[in-house]
Amino acid sequence: MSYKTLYRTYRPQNFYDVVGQEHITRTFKNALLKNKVSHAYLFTGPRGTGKTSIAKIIAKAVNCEKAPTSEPCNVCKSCISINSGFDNDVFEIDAASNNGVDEIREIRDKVKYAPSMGRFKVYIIDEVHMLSTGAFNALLKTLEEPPKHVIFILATTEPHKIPATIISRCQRFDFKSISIKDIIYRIKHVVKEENIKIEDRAIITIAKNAQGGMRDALSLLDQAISFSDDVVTEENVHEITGTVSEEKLYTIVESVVSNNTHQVIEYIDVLISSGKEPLRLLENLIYYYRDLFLIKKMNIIDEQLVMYHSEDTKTLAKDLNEKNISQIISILNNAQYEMRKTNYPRVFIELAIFEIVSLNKNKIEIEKAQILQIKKNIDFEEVKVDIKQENVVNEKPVEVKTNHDNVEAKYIDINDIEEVLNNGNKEKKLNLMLQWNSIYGSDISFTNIKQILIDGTIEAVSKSNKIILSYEVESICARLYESDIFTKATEILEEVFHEKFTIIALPKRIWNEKKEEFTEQYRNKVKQPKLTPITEPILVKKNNNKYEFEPELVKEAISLFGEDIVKITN
Amino acid sequence: MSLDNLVKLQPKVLKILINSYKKDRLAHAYLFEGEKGTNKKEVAIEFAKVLYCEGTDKPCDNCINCLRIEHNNHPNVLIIEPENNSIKKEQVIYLQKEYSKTTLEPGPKIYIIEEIDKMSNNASNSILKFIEEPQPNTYTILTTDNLHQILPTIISRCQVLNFQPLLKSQIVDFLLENNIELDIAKIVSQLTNDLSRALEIANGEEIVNVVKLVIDIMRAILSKNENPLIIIEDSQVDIVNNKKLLELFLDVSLIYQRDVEHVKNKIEEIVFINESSFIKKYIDNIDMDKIISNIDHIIKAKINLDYNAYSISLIDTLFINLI
Amino acid sequence: MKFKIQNMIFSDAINNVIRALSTKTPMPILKSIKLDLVNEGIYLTASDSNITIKQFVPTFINDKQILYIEEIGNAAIPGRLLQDVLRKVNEEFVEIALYEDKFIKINFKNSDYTLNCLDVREYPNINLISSNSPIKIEVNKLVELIRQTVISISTNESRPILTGVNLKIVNNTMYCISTDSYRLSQKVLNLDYELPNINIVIPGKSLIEFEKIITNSNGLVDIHLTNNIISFKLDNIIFQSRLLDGTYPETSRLIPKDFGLIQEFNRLELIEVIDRVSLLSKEGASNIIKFDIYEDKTIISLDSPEIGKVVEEIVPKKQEGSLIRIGFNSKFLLDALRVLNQENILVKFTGEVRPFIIKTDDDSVTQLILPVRIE
Repeated sequence: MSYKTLYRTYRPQNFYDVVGQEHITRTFKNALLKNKVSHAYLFTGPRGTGKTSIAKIIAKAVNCEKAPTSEPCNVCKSCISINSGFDNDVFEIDAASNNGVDEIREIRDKVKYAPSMGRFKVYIIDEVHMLSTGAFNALLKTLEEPPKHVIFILATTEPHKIPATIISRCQRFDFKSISIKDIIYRIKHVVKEENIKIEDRAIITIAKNAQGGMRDALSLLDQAISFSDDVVTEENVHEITGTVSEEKLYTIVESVVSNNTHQVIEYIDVLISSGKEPLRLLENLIYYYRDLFLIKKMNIIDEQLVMYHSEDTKTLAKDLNEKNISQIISILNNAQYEMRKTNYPRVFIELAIFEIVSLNKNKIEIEKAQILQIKKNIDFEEVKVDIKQENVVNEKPVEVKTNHDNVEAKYIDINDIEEVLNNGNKEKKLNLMLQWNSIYGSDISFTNIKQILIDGTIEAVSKSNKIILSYEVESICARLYESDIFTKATEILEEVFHEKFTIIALPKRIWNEKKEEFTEQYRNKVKQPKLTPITEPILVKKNNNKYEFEPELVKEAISLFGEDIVKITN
Repeated sequence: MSLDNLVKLQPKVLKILINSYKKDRLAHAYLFEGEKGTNKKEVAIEFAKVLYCEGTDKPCDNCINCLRIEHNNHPNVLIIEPENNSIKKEQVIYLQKEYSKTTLEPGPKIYIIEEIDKMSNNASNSILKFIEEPQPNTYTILTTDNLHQILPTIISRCQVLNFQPLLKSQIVDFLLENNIELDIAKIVSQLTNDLSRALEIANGEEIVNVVKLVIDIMRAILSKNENPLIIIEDSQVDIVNNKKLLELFLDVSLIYQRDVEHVKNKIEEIVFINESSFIKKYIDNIDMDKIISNIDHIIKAKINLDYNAYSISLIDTLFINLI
Repeated sequence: MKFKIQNMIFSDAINNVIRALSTKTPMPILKSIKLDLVNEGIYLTASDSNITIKQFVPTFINDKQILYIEEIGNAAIPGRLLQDVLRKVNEEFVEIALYEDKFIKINFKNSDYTLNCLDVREYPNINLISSNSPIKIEVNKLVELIRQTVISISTNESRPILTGVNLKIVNNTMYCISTDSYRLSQKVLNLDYELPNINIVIPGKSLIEFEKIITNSNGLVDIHLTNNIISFKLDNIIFQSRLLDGTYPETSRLIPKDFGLIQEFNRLELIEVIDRVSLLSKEGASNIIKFDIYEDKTIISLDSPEIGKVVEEIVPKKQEGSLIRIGFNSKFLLDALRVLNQENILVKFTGEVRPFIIKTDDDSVTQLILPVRIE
C-alpha cells in the first residue's frame, strides 16, 4: 500500500468540506436542490482554490441516486463510480493536452450521445484557456446549443485569455484565494485527523506561505511532517520553504536602521551560506518592509493583512518614516528585478543594502538623493555622447568594410514617428503599459524575444496601433529589427493583446531628440509638427540561424508531418 | 556519487527523503529544483536504488537492481532526459504509455524526468493527470534548473524540494583537493556552483591569464597610474575577439570590484586574497558612489554582451565609464 | 555458452521473436535478444518491455538433431545485428559462443564475427509462466473472442484504461468487456474448471498483435494470468503482455435487461442496407443514421446537409413491442454485425435515448450501442 499525500487524501468530497468559497457553495447547493442547473459554467480563480473539486462535486450531485440533493451522498453506485475517476458520463478533459480543434470537435460530436447511466453527461474542461482559437470556436458551437443532458464546467486560472463569446454563454464563478484564516482552519482539521504534533506558529507559517492555495498548503504540511523529527516546528517550515524567520528579518532591518552596513552584509552572508536563496531572502525582506509600512499606517493591526507583527517589529515600525520605507521598497524591488535578469544575485542584494544605508545616512536624504540621481544622469548622458563621437570616428567605417555581409543599415522613417505623435492615444498607451508584463505569459517559448519587448519602454501608441518603444541599450533595439525577431515579436503582441500592432523601436537617445523637437513645435502652436529625418541608421545583424527562433513551432510541425514535408520558408 | 556524499552536499533534501521513506510517507511526485550542479539527478537515481536495492545497506551499488538502475536498464525505472535540448513529443507519448501500464517486474514504478522545463507546455500538461492521480506505488521525480519556467499547475502537484547551491567553501575545498592554487580556487568558486564546471574552468588555460589581466587593469584604475586600454592592447589575452574570454573577464572584474566594495566598508571577507593590501593602500582614491557605479557598468556590459553587442565598443564604453 | 545450431531453424525462431524487439527504447539492454541454452534446447526471448515473445527450440526435431550443445549458459546479443548476420549464412550450421561474458562469436565457413554484448544479468527478469492453472482455449475460439471485443476499445489515450479489454473471472465464469463509453462489447464464457477470481485489463493493441500471430494456427492456447502480466502459450511460443494499470469501470449497470422492442434481422441483409446508407456519411465525421420503426417495416435513413439524403426500407423477420425512432452511429452497428457469426441477429431496444443491444443465438456475446438524441 503506498502513501497518499495529504492534498489527495483531503480533497473535499462534498460542499461541506470545501473551505473558503461559501458564496459559491451556497449558490450551488440551492440550485441543485431546486434542480436549476444551467448548461455551462466558467470557474475562474487561482490554483488550489477548489475549482476542479467543486466541479466534481457538482457532477456527483446531479447524477446521485438521491438527486435532487444539495450534497452528493458519496455512497451510491454513481457517486462511487465518479469518485473512482472512471465514470462513463463524467469526462474530465485537460484542455492543455487536448487543445486542438479535432479534440473539441470530437467532444462536439460525442455530446450528442445520451448519458449511459446517469441523468447528465458532465464535461469538466480544466485549463480551458489553453484551447486554440479554432478549438474555442468549435466549443462555442456546442455551447450555443447544448443538448439537454449535458453540463459543461470550464475551469481556468487565466480568465483574461477566454474569448468574450465563451464567457457570455457561461455562468461565471470567481473563486477567491483562500484566506490565511481558512487555511489554518483546514490544516488544524487535517493534523487532528492524522494525529500530527505541530506548533501553532508552524501552522501559521505554512498558511502564510501557501499564497492562498489549499493544495500548496497541504503539500507544505506534508513536507514539513517528513522533515521534522517529532513535532513540526516553525523553523522546520522555514527550512523547507527557504524563507527567513521574522526574527532574522528584524535583525537585518535593525542593523540597517543603525547604519551598520558591515554587520548587515556579514549577516546576509551567513544566511546565504546556510542555504537561504538570495532571491527569496530579498522577497521576504520586501514583505517585511511592506508590513512595517502597514503597521505604521494602521492603528489596529489586521493579522490577516500583516504577516509580520511581533512586538519587536512594531517597535521598529515606529522608528521609521513612511517616505523612507516606500523608497526602500522600491530600491529592493529594483534589485529583485535586476536579480532575475542576471546571475549575480548577491551583488544586487549588497548594492541594495548600500543604497538603503546611504538613504539613512543623509538627514536631508530625499533632496540630496534626487540631486545625486540627476547628476548621475547628466554624467551618463555626457559619457554617452563621447562614446558616440568616438564610435563615429573609430568604429563605423571599420564595420562597413568588414561586416558588410552581416550587417544591414535600417533607416527609420520619420513619417511613422510623426504619425504616432500626431495621433497618440493615451488610453491605448496606458492599457498596454499596464499589461506589458503579461507578454511573458505562461508559455516558455520565445522568452528571449519577449524579454526584448519587455525591455523596451512604451513611449507612445497611435490610434492605428503603432507603438514606439525606446531602448537604453542600443544593441537590444537593433536586435529587435532582425527580421525573424521582428516578425515573431509582432506575432507575440497580436497573440497577447488580440490586436495587430506595428512596432517602431528607437534608441532612447534618438527618441529624446525627436520628442524634444516635437514638443518644441507643439509648444509653439504648430498643429501638425514636422520632424527632421533620422540620418543615423540602426545597424541590424542579418539573420543566420532561423531555427534558433522557431524551435517549438518547427519541431511540432516536423513531428506531425515528418521532416520531408516541413520546409522552412522565409 | 555515493549516498553519504550526497547527504553531505544536500542535507536538507536527503533528510526529507530519508525521513519520508522511513515514515512511509513518500509523495507520489517530487520536483527537484535548484541550480545546475546541485546533484538533482544523482539524488533521484539514489532514490530509485534505495527502493529497489536487494542489499542490506541500501543502496549497495552492487546488486543487480542497483547496477541496472545505474545503466538505465531497469524495466520499472524510466529516466527521460532532453534530446537536443528539448523533451520530444515521442518521449512524452512513451512516458504516457508507461504510466498507464503495469510493471514488467514486481515493484514500484519510478519515473525520473530530467529538466522538465525543456518539455513544452502542452506536453507537460498531458502528463499532469498521471502525476496527480497515479496508480498506487508510482513515483515521479521531475528535475529543473529553472523553477520559474515551469507551469504552476505542475509545481503545485508536486512536493518541491529545493536543492541548495554548494557553499563557496565546499567548492574551494573541492578545487584545493584537485591541486588548484588557493587564489584561483577562491575566484573560480565565485563563477559557478557546479563542481565539474568549476574544475574545468580552474584547469583551463585562460583563467590564470584573465585573472592577471583583471588585476593589472583594476590596479591601474584604482591607482590611476596607467591607462587600462593600453594594458588591454599589450595583453596576450584577446578579449576583443574572443567572446568567451570577454565574458570571463567581466565576471572576474566584477568579483574584484566587489572586493573593493568590501574593503571600503571594512568587511574582511574578500576573494582576491593577495590584493588586500594593494586595495587598502589606494582605497581613498575611490568613493562609494563610484564603486557602485563601476559595478553597475560591469553588469551592464555583461547584459549587452548577452544581447550580442560589438565587443570593441562594449569594452571602450566600459573603460571610459570605469576610469 | 557454446553451441552449434541448424541455421534455418534458428533464423526462423529469431524472426518470430524479433517482432517484439524494440527499435526505440530508453533501455539499451532491450535491443538484445536473450538466449538461454539448457540441456533440452535453447530459449530465445525478445521484448520491448510491453510485449515479450519467447520461443523454445528443442535439440531434436522429428528425431533429427538440429542443436549441438557444448556448454550451457546464457547471453544477450544485439538482436538486429544477429538477424542480419544470420541472413548472410549459407551454411547449414552456424556456431555461436560467448567469450569473457562480453563478446559473442558467430562462426560459419570462413567467416568469424565477434559482437559486443551487454551483461545478460541486466536483462529484465520476465517470468513468463507463473500460474499453474491456465485458461485453456482453442485457437479459433480465442481469435473469435478477440475480434468480437477489440472493436469497442477506445482509441483515445486520454483515458488509457479504456484502450484495453477487461478480463474478469468470477466464480469460474470469464467476462471479456470493452467499451469506449459510446458502445460496449461483452463476451461471457463458462469455464468448466476451477480458476481463481481475477480482474485485469489487457491492452487492446497487444491482443490485436497476438491475434495476428495465431490466426493461422490451431490447437490449444494456455492463458496464464497474474496481476501485472498475461501470457499466451501456443506450442513452443509464448507471447506475453503487460497489462493496463488501474480499475476498469463497472459496466454491469450499463447493459439493460428489460426491452420495449425487439427486432430480428437477417444479419447479412442488415449489413448490406446499413452499408449502403452509410455511403453518404462524410469521411471521418460521425455517421448518424436513423431507424424509424413502423409495424410493417423499418425505414433507415441518413440526412447529411452537405452531401444529401438516403432512405432505405427493410422488413424485419420478426418484431415485437412499441414503435420508436432512434438515431445512432452506423459504424458502431456495422462493426458489431461484422464480428458476429450467426445468420440471424436480434436488436433489443429500451427507449429512444437509452442504450440498445445486439444479440444472436450464441448467447455468449453482447454488443451494446448508445444512441444519439435526434431532433
